[in-house]
Amino acid sequence: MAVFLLGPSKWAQGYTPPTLPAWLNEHLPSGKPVGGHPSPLAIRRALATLLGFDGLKVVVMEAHDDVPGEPKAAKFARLARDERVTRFVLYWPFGANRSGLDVEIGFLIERLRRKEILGEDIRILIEDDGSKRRAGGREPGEDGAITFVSYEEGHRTGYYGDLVLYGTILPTWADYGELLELIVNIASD
Amino acid sequence: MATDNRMAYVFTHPEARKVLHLLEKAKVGSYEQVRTALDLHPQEFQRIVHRLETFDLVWARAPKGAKWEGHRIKIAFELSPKGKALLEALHAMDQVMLAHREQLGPRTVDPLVVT
Repeated sequence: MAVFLLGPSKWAQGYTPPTLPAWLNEHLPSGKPVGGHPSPLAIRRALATLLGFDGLKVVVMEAHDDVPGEPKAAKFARLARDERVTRFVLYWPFGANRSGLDVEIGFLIERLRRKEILGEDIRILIEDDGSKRRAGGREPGEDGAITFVSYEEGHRTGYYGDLVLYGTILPTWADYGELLELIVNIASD
Repeated sequence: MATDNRMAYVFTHPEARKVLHLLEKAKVGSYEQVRTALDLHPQEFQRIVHRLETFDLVWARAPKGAKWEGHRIKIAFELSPKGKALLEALHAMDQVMLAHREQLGPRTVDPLVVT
């Protein structure tokens, strides 16, 4: 079983992400980070490396070579099939530029629509530290109902809302330790 | 390792087990439901449920038919298959503990008792 770790590749312009913990920092891909901060893509790759040490198979699409002439959606489908992906995990940090995610989310929605996968096969891991970095979180509604609120206006992809409507699971994480623990628990049966 | 951590957490936090038992009966979509059933403050419930979600024992998602109202959508908490399996394991442990109660000796506090 493998987990497909999707997510943004860049931070939104002007956003300064938090300093990464040393245990994650040391697994970042080599090379100087653009703008002085590791990108969300570099963080995903570091998480995949780290989880690999625990015997968990985590696929980051950008870490795999492109086949000449292959469209992005086809690469996504090929990796999901060849790596035997059973869970799709969407890393959703605060302050990221998510404009490039539409293809991946669209692919997931299409598979959901065809009932090839279920809502619970997809997790959107939403950063919520309870104060400054809140991509989304829970709040009581007017009638006492528990509601999920998306806090980042203008940072969502067009299809994100649809993904939630298909019953994807919406856990939150406050720091990278918690994020790692969450992925470990999702990936291990 | 993940399984051990989950088990240890629920075993040492009786209130977490109560939340799992509540979710075993039905999905929870309002804080009033929690207050009535468990007499837990919403913030305390959120803290416990957050931990249980990190262990992948509890899931939060929009129920069928839910609609976005601006940037907000109703969600409900439910027991995941791992949560269900963990509760079954705890029930089995309860049975073993009960069978050996005499040999184990009297206890002043029983961590397995669910009120």
